[in-house]
Amino acid sequence: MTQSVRSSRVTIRPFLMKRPNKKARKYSIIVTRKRTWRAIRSKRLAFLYRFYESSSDAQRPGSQRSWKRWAQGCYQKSRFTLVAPEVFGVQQDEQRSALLSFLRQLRRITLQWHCRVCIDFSKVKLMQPAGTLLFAAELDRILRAISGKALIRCTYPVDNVVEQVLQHLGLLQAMKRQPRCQVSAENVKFWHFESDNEANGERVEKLATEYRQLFTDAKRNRMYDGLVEAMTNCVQHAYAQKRQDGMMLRGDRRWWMFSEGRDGKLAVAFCDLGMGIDRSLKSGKKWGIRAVHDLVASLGRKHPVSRYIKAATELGRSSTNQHHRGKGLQDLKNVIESIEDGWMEILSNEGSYRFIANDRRETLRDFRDSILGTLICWQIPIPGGEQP
Amino acid sequence: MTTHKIISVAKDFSRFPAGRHRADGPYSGERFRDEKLVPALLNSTTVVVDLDGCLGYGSSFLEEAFGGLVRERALSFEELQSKLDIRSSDSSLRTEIWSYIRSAQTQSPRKRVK
Repeated sequence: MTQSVRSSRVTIRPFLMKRPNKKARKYSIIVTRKRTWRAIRSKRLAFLYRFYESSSDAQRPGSQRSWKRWAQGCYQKSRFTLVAPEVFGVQQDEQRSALLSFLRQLRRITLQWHCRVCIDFSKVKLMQPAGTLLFAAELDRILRAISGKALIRCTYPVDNVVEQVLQHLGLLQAMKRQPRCQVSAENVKFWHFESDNEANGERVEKLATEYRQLFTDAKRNRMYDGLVEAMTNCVQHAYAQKRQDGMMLRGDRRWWMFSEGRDGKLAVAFCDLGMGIDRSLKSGKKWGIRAVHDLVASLGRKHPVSRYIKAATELGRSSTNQHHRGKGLQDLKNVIESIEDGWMEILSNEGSYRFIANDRRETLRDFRDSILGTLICWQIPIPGGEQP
Repeated sequence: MTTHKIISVAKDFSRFPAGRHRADGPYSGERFRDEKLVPALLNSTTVVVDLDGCLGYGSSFLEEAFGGLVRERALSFEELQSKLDIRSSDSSLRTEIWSYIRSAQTQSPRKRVK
């Protein structure tokens, strides 16, 4: 009686062969590998063509026919040049699409294909805090994943302020570029950058030292409370499931934070590259699926993603069976409400929720692209308008 | 013989309490509860917890540290009312902590204090 031979992927039907032998098994493995490589190559060619389309005219070869040879040449030499967008921002549609597309290409080239990349910063004109933090977080994550291999380089920016930003945040050094300018711009030198993979309040110590009034006020402005709750939320919930880019790093529950005090205001941006608030709530692990569903349904049908963000700021107030759960985002909102000035914006995946304290105005918005994580930005006045 | 124990969170634990579980960070609510609060409650007649001196307290830390006494360590609300005293220049902190303890009372305790 003939027996079917099973390779790891392909089963050879019995009537094609009389008895199993080593040659047949080897043949099935070769066939499987060829089919898999053809599928991979066609996907790579599709990406290379899109990469060709997004490249600047100066980088393209002379004739369009040779795009394939040029793109394959880049791939074989394992070296790509990525042009960074003009504006690093996530609050406007066009800027957001350009930045997220740039980050997507960066992840694919470095983490999936393990190829070298040179980031061209010559066209960058403006780096907004939220977009810069997202880029810094992605770059940090990629550099940790490739474990120090020399895969990412960059060119020096043309704009002096942009170069100061990259130098001040340590991004130039991370991409093996020597710092060459003095950080003197007013809108750069007061930035602080922190990152950790646990809820560590000592990371806030520098901020607390510089802005004492915000942290030691007898009325307890709760600035520290909001920050540590953001860290705790990130560490506990943000990385419970795989990120949608499919490249989750084991044990890495990292958060990144910017802070800047200028013109009598303190702005803080907090970022994680986890699964996002909407996916976290839908999993039901923290609040229960029913409680989440009921609350989200009460917020209407518009804005399928951002209403989950709004629900997350409300869940601590509503009566649920999970009384012992921390109030996370509600603590952050309390910071703004207690001071009665300033604003807070939460961007998570495709959604955006903005809260302005003065008139208690809430704005929900859904974008086309996902930032694949959560960005929380808030700004409050510094008592006395003190600057460090 | 009555014994009186005073725990200052800032001096005896950390000026930067943050996080709920031990896995969250080095100065979590669970660690404070198990290493400081529970031994003091077992060995003393009254325990005073001084909250001043820290930068602040996240709700997760407070809930796990104090609400966890009832939920995880099976101490009753009445027992804590007689033994535990919370001192803070911010009265809203005391109110918040006792609300966590009261809420935890409605849930069944998981394990007894050893």
